[in-house]
Amino acid sequence: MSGTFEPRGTQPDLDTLERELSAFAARTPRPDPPASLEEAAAELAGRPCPAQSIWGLALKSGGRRSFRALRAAAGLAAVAALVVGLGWGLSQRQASPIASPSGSPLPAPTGALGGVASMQLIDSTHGWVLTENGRLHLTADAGKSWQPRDPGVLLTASEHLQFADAQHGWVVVAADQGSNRLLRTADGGGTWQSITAPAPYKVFGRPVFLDASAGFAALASSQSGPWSLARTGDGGRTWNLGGPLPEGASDELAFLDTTTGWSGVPGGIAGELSHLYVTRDGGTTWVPAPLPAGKIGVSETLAPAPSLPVPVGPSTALLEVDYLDNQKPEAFITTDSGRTWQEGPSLYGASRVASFTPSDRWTGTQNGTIAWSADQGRTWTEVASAGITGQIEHIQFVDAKLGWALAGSQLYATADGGRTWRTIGPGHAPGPLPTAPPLVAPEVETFHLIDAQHGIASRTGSPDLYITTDGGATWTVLRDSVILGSAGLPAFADPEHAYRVVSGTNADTIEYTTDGGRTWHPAELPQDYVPVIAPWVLDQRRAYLELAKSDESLVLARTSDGGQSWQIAGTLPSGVIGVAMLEDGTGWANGGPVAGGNPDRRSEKLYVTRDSGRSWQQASVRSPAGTPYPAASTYQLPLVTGPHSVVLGVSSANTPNTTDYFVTFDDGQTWTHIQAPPGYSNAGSYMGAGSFIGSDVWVVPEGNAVAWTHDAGKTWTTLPGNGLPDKSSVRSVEFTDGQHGWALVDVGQPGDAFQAPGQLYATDDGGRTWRLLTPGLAA
Amino acid sequence: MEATALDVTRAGSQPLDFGRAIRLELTPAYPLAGYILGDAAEAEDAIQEAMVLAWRRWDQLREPERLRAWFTRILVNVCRERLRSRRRKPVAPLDMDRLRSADDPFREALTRDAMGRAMGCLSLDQRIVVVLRYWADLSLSEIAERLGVPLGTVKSRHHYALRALRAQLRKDSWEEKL
Repeated sequence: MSGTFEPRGTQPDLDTLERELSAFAARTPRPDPPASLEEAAAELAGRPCPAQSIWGLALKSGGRRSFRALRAAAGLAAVAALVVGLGWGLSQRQASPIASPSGSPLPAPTGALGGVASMQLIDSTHGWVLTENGRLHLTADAGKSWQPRDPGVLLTASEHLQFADAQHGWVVVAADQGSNRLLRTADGGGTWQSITAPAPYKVFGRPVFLDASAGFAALASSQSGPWSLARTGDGGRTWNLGGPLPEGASDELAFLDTTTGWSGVPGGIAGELSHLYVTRDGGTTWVPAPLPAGKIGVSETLAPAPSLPVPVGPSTALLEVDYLDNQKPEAFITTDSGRTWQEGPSLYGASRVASFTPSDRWTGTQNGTIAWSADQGRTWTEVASAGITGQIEHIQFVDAKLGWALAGSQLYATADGGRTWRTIGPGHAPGPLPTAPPLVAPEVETFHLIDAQHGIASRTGSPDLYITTDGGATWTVLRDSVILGSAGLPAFADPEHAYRVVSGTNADTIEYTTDGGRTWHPAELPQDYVPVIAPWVLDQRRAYLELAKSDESLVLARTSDGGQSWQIAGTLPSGVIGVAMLEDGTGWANGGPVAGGNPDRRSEKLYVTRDSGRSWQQASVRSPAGTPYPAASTYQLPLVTGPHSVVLGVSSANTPNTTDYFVTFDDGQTWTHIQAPPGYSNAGSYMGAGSFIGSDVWVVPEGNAVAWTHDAGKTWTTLPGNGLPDKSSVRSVEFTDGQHGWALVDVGQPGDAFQAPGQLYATDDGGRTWRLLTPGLAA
Repeated sequence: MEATALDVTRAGSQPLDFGRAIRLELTPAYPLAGYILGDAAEAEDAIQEAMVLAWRRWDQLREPERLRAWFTRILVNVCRERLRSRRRKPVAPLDMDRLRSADDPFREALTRDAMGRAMGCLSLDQRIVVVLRYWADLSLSEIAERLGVPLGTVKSRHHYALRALRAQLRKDSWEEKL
């Protein structure tokens, strides 16, 4: 069964805990806000009009950057070589090619190269890095050696340097009097030409090159615009002037091919919506772009600008939209050159660090791991990688094996698809290859073993689901951006059918899936009711759900169509905490109202229903001595062990420091007192972290051990826990039969203040020996 | 008595001035963000971000007396997103000495006491409800209003937060005995 994770041992009463929490909060300081916030407020109040920044407003306060609208533009320029002649019939203006770049002479190299600021892996042997001190280096032997290829001026890390192939590259650098220049090379950086913007313009916007010849750039008389489009068919040597970009457009462009491209007009920061325009004729005419239905241009809660689409393949581009109110950005994909958009597959991870080459194998990073996708981002397989230190800022692959990554100003290279990385870069020999990493996933938060082959797991803080269909040998990650509600992991009836509680902006909602979690559908709940806890699942069509109304009343609802619709079965007794339902319509609930108005005297009663939740009666159990339990005794939520059987724990008001356990095999007609498992006799002990299959029960005493009974609790055996690490603690176990089970194990030190790390182990011999599983990592 | 934005409006008989009004919100907002995020620098960033959002939507605030609820909702959403983003990043091993730095009053308060440390086990929504309930002294109904979620949802989150805290305190107590 699916266990409810309850702590072991004695627990403070919730009312006591509430008081302690109040006292703790009262003891903590309430520091005054720093002066920088006052300054920021004053600065904001003093702004006369919205700044025209497409990417958002940045406050300058104490050096902090307070608001940064995210940009979806991934770092790759050339997607596919689409060598198509440009067909504009406009007059061609000759720029002024210069044999060698002018400008300030470069200072002599100091020897200190600095860290790597940006990079591009051009093909399997060629690539470049721009160091933090402005030096450009190229390699033609996959990073074994590097040659300085400065274009005659110091570059800065922010300049957009791009190479279409090993020979042809471009960068825009600042020049005098508010102008800039485009530098181009056709010999791998050996020589550079300086191109000025054709009159009457003085500045280039960021150019976009589709290959060595074809490119586009916005041109203007000053950096503030207005911008007009220009195109080149000779690698940037000469530029043909086109028409103006849409009014108010920024200088940034995205082109899918020589005819289809996008331009963005930023909204104001006072709430004006942004607009995206598309051209189908290479930039001659621009029209409002078709956008994901109902997503952009209609809501007042949008960010000031949608990001420009990111070309990722022929006719294919991604578009990501950040919302200001709604916390989750949404990603869309087009496969028909932007005529229509579909939800997802999304860029991988919040950081948008992604490589879309080769086009049938995307790579990205998330949660500090590297993953690849072969289905345009719908599902991802993570790679257990070693050798990279720090947060990956940029990752790029040219095939399934060869890739570079930039992390912490250090360049890394892999030749095995990201499994092992070595440091490379100018100024030092390639570093040693690290040992292949141990297959450890130290942040499993919760799991559910569906059957011997199927299981799911989640990681702390991530909404992603990790699913295995081969007993944990391999895992597929289903990326998601919802926030799971308090109920946590989805409840699965079988590998395909499951329910989850989603924390929405306005209320928690229930969703169901019939395809193993790949797609989720909202359920129809009775009006004004919200889910309290994850559904209690009987099979792929039947489930129960506790619902709450604003007047505090709790009801039990049920579905018989797999979660699509829910009907109220009946009202739950006042103060009910938990409900456990059996297949025959019998159900158990515990809880109860506060006794005598005194929260310290709360008692938890036991209730039973025989009609699927329509009506509830108080149930009673006699103590091991055969006498009725006195009032104010505490009944735990019964744990279902079979079709008609549950295990129940009761703490008598007369002996509040102990817990008695009982089992019934006839829906509570008769109860048999059973021995408490090791460590479970204290008051408040609860076997909810255990697993129950008929007379076989596994529970988790303190430490790295599992206790097991095969005779419904008459005798208990503490299993040795072979294979579990020392100083670990089994948090919970789940078995699907007498042999196959998983355990979530807390290992080592207590976790970070924002996570509760655990590792997942599996057993095939009923819990005697265990092996580590690695959710999300390739085996 | 603490001044409110409404007082500012009445005193000046002027339309609600963003600068004056929002400055009055900083005093309650700073500890609120600080205890949700557990980090003074992040709290400062979050408030700045929330101020920018508030400024953009200033003309949408139709009831000045509801400024605090309105701004709290914006701030909590910003904090929520920051916590989500933080959890997606790889986490370095915890350096408790560093966390106990006296330079950060929120970290100091949350790490020196078992209760504060136990709060690390809460989910995002649970943590937000707990801070609003016990640090901002809001009733569950007021929290529901501030968050824009039904009361039942808040009760559920509060209940499960207490249960999670209870479990974590129990676990911490046991680990200390190892």
